[in-house]
Amino acid sequence: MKKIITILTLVFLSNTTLAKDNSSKILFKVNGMVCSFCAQGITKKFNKMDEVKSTKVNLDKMEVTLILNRGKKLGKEKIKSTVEEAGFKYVEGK
Amino acid sequence: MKKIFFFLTSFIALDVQAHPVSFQDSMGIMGYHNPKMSHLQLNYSWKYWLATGLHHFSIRPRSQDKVKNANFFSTNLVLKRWNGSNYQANLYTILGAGRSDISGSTQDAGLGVFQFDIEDRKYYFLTKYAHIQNPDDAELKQTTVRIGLAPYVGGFDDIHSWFILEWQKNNIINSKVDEDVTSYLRFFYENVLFEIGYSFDGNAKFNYITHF
Repeated sequence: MKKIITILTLVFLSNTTLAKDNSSKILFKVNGMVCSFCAQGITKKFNKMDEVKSTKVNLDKMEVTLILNRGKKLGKEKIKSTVEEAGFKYVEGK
Repeated sequence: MKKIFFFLTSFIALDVQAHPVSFQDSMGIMGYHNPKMSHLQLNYSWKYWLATGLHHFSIRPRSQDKVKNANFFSTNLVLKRWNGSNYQANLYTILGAGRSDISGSTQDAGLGVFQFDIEDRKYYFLTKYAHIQNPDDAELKQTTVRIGLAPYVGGFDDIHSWFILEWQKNNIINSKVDEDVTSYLRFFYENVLFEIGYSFDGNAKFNYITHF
């Protein structure tokens, strides 16, 4: 019985993980992004895009993480131009 | 009535002090107020380096003086921006044309502003020169220098605060040149920023910026 519960739990957890993994992430650095007030343009512009589910900004590392909607892709050139429209410099991700 | 108007415009006063241009396709509302002067600015940023602005100045050098006004349309430009790995620096200019009665009679006037600022997450420096000129005389010459220090470094979703010290020199036509030093507390959260200041000569000041 314990084995069945363990297997079922593992199956449930793996499905949950798979569901989360359907959203892909893009990480890149943004030079000049020193204050949250100035960086509002970045979150506003990316969050308007159909491809983007959410935008996270890490000011300590000056990094932006885009969580994309399921099945969506976003090219490097579009990311770069969006960052530049917000007034910053795009630096390619790791 | 004019006193009421001055009071009301004071508290929606808009300022050039920080962001004459913001991100592409954004609207900015900026305010600067003290008992002697308020400056209101609305701008729209077509590009991250180009905006058009509307300005309204209300000036009353001494409490017994009549309020004088100047209104301008302007082009705001980022002449140069440095996006460093841990700082940003900007060189801005604002060039405007409009009408002013600061000299006593209403006439055509021009507005010119040059501003340089640099900041990282802990320190901030700004210097600015603003000039209003009619065909015959300089109506306003204003020089500002600011230094700022953040007491803590916050994250993107935090409320940020800064201590700022400002020196300002105002040369308004037909008035005595005055200088003052003001200490400010600046707070910002998401797209709203405001400052509360008190000058060494006893004037309360209030500034704010929002862009959306």
